[in-house]
Amino acid sequence: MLEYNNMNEVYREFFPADPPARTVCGAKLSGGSKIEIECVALA
Amino acid sequence: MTGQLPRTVIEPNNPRLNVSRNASLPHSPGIRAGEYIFLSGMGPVDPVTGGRNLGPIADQIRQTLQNMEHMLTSAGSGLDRIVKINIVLADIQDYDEMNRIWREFFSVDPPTRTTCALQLSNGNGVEIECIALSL
Repeated sequence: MLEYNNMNEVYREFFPADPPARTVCGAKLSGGSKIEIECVALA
Repeated sequence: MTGQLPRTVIEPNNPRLNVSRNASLPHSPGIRAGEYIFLSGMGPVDPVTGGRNLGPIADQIRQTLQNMEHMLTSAGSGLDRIVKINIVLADIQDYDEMNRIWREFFSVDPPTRTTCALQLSNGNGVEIECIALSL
């Protein structure tokens, strides 16, 4: 969870306006990843 | 299907509960997609001060569900229109207490739900997100 502010900094580059709803948690991930993201989108 | 499903940002009527706007965070409180409403993870924010209520877990859960009800009502929906809830506790030992508070809010036909314990931001003991139907 210590990466929360770093995550938001990069996140802003991708969603400058009307960003998606979001939930953030800290957890252990597979493959040594520092982040994992899933989404629901419209066609 | 003809055309794109509309996608619009939804916000709480009480601006104190607009956490992402107040803290300049890059997410929306909620998104309406057609007749579906997706809410961001919500925590125990005090609707009067806008600060965090980090008291006993029962109070935190109650506060968060009341805030969720406010968000849904603001969007023309309600707790009884929730389809799925994900609830994250900071401590899985609070599971029984969470269920006790849950029954106060969802006495009949409660929503589907997944519970887990993970690290949360801002010292929150609980964070709750949901997918609901508009009325």
